[in-house]
Amino acid sequence: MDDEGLQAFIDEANELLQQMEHILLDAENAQGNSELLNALFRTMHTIKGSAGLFALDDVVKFTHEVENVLDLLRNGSIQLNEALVSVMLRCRDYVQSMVDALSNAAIIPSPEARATLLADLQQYQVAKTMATPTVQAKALDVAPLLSVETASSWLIFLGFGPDLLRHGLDPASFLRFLTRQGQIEQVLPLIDTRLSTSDFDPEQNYLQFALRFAGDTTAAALQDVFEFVREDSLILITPLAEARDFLQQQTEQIPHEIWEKINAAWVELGLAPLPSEKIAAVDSPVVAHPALETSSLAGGAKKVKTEKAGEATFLRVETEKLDSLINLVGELVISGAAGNLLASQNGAMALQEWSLSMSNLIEQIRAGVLSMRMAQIGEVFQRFPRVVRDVAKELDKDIHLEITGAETELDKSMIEKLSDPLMHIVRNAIDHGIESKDARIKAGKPIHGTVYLNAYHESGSVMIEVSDDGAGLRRDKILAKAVERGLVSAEAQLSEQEIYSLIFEPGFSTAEQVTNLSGRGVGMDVVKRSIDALRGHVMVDSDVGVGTVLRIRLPLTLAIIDGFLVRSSNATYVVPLESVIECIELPDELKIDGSLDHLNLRGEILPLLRLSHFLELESSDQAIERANVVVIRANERKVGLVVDALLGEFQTVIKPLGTLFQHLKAIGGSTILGNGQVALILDVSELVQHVTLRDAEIFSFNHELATRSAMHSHLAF
Amino acid sequence: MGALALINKMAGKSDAEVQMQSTEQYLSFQLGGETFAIGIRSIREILEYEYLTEVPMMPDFLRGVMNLRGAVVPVTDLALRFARARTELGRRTCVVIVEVLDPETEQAQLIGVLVDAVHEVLTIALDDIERAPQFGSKLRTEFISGMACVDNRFIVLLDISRVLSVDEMSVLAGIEHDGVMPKMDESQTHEEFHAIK
Repeated sequence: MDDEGLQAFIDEANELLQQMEHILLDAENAQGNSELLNALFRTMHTIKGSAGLFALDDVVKFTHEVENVLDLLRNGSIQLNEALVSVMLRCRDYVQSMVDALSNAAIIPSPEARATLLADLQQYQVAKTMATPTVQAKALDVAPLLSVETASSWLIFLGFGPDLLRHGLDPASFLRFLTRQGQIEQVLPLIDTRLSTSDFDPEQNYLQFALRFAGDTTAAALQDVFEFVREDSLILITPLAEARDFLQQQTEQIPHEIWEKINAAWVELGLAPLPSEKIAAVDSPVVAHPALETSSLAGGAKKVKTEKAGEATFLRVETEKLDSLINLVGELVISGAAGNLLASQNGAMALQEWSLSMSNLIEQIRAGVLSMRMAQIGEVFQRFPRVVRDVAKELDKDIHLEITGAETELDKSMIEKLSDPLMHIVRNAIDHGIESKDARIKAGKPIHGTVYLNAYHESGSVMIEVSDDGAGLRRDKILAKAVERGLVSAEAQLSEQEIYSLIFEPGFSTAEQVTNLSGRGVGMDVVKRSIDALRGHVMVDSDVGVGTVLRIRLPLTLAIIDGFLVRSSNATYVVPLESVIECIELPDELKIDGSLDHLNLRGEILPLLRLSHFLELESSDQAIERANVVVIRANERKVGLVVDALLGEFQTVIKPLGTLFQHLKAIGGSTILGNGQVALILDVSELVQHVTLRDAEIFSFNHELATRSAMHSHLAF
Repeated sequence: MGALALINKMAGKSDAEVQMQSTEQYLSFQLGGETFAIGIRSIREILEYEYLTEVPMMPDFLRGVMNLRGAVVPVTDLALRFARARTELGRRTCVVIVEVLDPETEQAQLIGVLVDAVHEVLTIALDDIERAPQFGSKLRTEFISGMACVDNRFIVLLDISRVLSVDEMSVLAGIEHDGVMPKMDESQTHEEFHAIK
């Protein structure tokens, strides 16, 4: 089969496996309901069906076994208890490994795992037959499969379900396929009597067949032909010789009228007619096959329909296409801004009106295109219930996971890159953060630990918090370890933050004991590196005995943001509008670069950052008449940015500056203004951090020491 | 892979052809009082100097960034890179857009080169290209791919991928920005710093 088709299968399987995991974890809490169990069954069933198309026999065989157990579950023969959830989760993982193996030859699904899982699954099937030996529902599927002896003449009834065509299957193809195993001697087309022909729906299948078939084959081989349709069709296959007995057995499961129809058709095909008194006996209360009962079929059809509608709302688009569209919209925004400028200079009323409505439309297109690239962070978060569950079980800890802000939106490409670092952090939190059960009881804490995942937007950045109510980080321990490893000197005076950030050093781990989950000290440095690669920041905060919070701040490296244009010393800069709180005039007494660089903002101290001074810009040619202060929010604090002029809002298309400027953290990118000039975008939180660090360095004891000793040595010369 | 790499690859394939033709084309330009030339394969286009946006806290040879039909392209001043006087803007000042390979992204990166004037495209026979002298050219020798004799005058042929090495320039930019010299004792740095002041 072509690669594209296979890729589609892999994508679909991944989605289904994720769904399966979701349901399993959910079902553990909700103890399952029929809808969920049906959905669960469908996941495996669909994978099996699609795998069959690609002749992936391993996958088909395995999923078939899983499906059998899920079927029992669906019928209520067995209960979804914790043990079964575990088995099912492992089965899911195994199927995942088989699917992964398709795209990555390095992955080889372990045959031992398969054997153990199959044995486990077998147990459930056996357990079920022992417990409820009279359940007939399964017999329909299983009984013919059991007869392995070959026969030469067969009677077949193909009661295709009404949804056959909607599932993309063609009844004729089955007949064609059947001829590979022998010869169809006679065909009787039938109409699905359960459906009303008065309101004919061309999308529905009304056609059913009864056939007489000749070929030396087994019932199982024939059943395989109809593998894909068995789910919602009534397929009966029996050797002609045993047909009478077989049909008698089915009376319990098949609605009477259908039974009659089959009987009549088969009689026409050569089955010995039934003595009349037996028909009377058959007329007893009918127990319908659960999946084939008319009403449930109708209901099922409806359900499938609504689900299909839900699926159809998603469209796979190549990211490249989307990116080029976003680029184009970026150009459109720039050229729209240029048009606006021209219109306002020109002054013609009509032109201005047109340009306004135009920019309104462009704004809508921009928002629309950008939202296409956005995905909810929940996509990543939803993997964590499983991780937490597994890790907690392995470590024998009782852990609750609380997720908030899953609807926070983030660039899709970033979301994918976040998954691994977050995984590391959460594992670390569970393994090292949260204490053992005993320790928790001793500390007077609830026995179950809690891990919180939270995400929110803050002044143009996305914040992701992973926190736990565990033991917290021991500063003394970290410092001791760092000294031992030679990462810092013993007499170094480090701030709280600096100590915490040591945990991101390669090879650093304070855990005494290395578990197979974490503790080897690989991990946190990887986390740091991956977050750095996204131009993000990791901050740690901790209280001994109370817990640890790890905050990841990610920039919005989106293609377009709302910007606020300011001028400083002849150069134009863009401040992300989201971080701007207000603009005020700079009081006269602060115009000169004085010693005290802060002002009183309604009782609050507002530190001032003089942009031209910080960026080492040459002073402006013309004297500044009124300097302005843009009050911005950076790292949860307010800072006043002193600029020469405010130029207003501007839709900013972010153009990356490239490798050459990678060290320039305070500049987040560049944009092209309406007049074609390039303006630099300030990364506000980086800017403030840079200034803070620089100030801390200049006014540190070490610096004073160095300066004074330098002066001293100069004097000595 | 960028167009340049592709061209290079093609060039690699047709080595024999080049040998047969035995000529290469170079663009010669004026930088201060000297004439240099760059192989024409790495040149994307030549633009009239219009407007640059200065980027703060960058080494002086990174003069700024410009708008190249919607893409933001850094512009370098080769004269400053070669430790000569800053290129002053004049009537004939041009920006030569050059394509070099960014080792980090493995993609072609466009870099503008500020020059005083662009002269002509020279067709130089390979036989006329000599190796760079060991000293005396007042340039780092690895910047020079060869010396060509044109009209009895020697023109320095630049190895543009070395001159505009993204790696090297970004290291220099990092020093400028963070104020930290790599691999140097802290006290020493301070002393030097003050000595310079």
